[in-house]
Amino acid sequence: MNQERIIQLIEAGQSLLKHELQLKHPESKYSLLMLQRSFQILKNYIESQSVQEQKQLDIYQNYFHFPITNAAQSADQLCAEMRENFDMQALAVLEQLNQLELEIIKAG
Amino acid sequence: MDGLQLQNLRNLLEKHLNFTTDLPMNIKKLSGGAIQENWAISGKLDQEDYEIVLRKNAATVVDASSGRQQEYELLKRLYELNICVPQPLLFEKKDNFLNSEFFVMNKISGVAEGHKLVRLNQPDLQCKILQDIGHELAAIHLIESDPEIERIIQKPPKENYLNQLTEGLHEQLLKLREPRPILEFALSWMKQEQPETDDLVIVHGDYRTGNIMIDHDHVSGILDWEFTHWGDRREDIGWFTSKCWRFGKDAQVAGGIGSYKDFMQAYSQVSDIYIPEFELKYWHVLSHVRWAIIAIQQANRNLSNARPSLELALTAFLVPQLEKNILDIIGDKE
Repeated sequence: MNQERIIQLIEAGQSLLKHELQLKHPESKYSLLMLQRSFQILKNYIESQSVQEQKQLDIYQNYFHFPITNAAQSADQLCAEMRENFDMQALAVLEQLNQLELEIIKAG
Repeated sequence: MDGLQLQNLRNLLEKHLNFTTDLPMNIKKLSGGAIQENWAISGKLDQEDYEIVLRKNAATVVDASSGRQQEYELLKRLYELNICVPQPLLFEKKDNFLNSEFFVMNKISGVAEGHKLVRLNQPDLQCKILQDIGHELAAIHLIESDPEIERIIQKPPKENYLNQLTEGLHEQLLKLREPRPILEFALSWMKQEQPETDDLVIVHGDYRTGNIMIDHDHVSGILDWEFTHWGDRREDIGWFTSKCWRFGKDAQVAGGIGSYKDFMQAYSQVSDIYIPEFELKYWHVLSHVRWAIIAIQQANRNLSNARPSLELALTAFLVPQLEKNILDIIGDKE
């Protein structure tokens, strides 16, 4: 099974929600919109996951100035630094990391 | 609620309030209230049609939320002080048929849905509503001391208030065990930029479009007092005007309903205090940090519920946008 098939499955599910279920069940509109949103987040995540991981490592590497292999550890380290001192210089790196997360939650 | 619970509830309401209901009972769970559950019940009080609301804990609660007894006692006192709140009618301690402490209050008519109120497309009406929201908030903030409320909610020394608030947020963030560098960054910024605290007043703690019931052109009731505490008035003003509570109407700074100036002019008519918008930077960061932490807590509650909740699970995905707003505010891009 490849990624393309999973994306096709998600898009078919979204289509069913949008073109059939929302019309048939207006009383469940809010729940169906939440399902739509969930499908979209899944789709965004699957489509961008591998690129995202690499971008994240690159951002941490540029910030810490040493090779990074584990993004989760780097996030912990960054948190510890942010907790220790306020450094306005960190704004740029935080904006880059935030941008990656926003890509996942963007609307379809 | 199952049949036995409904029967017990029916008996209780009849015995203590003389409130009678049809069979089956006309009871409906109200939307919203991810932290508490609200149930509307229709019936008769002294032969007259009457609607009440039962408010109980949800299966799990958020750290900063108060208990129902405290909220009930607070409502009682606020009602006595003529603050626009639903009349509290009855409180029941935890060991009862609902397995949760709960209270009953009268049901207020009107609309509280934020997304509807910000899209009325009637500028004059919206301005009138906004002015009333400003008046009501100022009336709450007129409570600077009250022995009964101070018995219910302890008043901290003014000089400790902001330290306690930010330390509390930090503790909650650490408990989440989820690395959020932007929230850490914001909390460090808040320590550095901590403003002088004004005299403490009663702060609603969740004063926003969505918790304010509007009937036509006026406020008919202020709901959800579970986060109420003594604090700086700018905490409520900042919360109400934060970008995260404008329901997509970002240009309408005051709750997505209208302009900051209209809101604050109305506020100052009652309080004689006008807070300029530029003073709110710190309080807007605080609002976003607080909401982001609550959003993660709510998403985590999904894991502890017997039945997963899509609404709670999705709350986690609000956090990156809240963090973007934080970076924009600190970086002076908003």
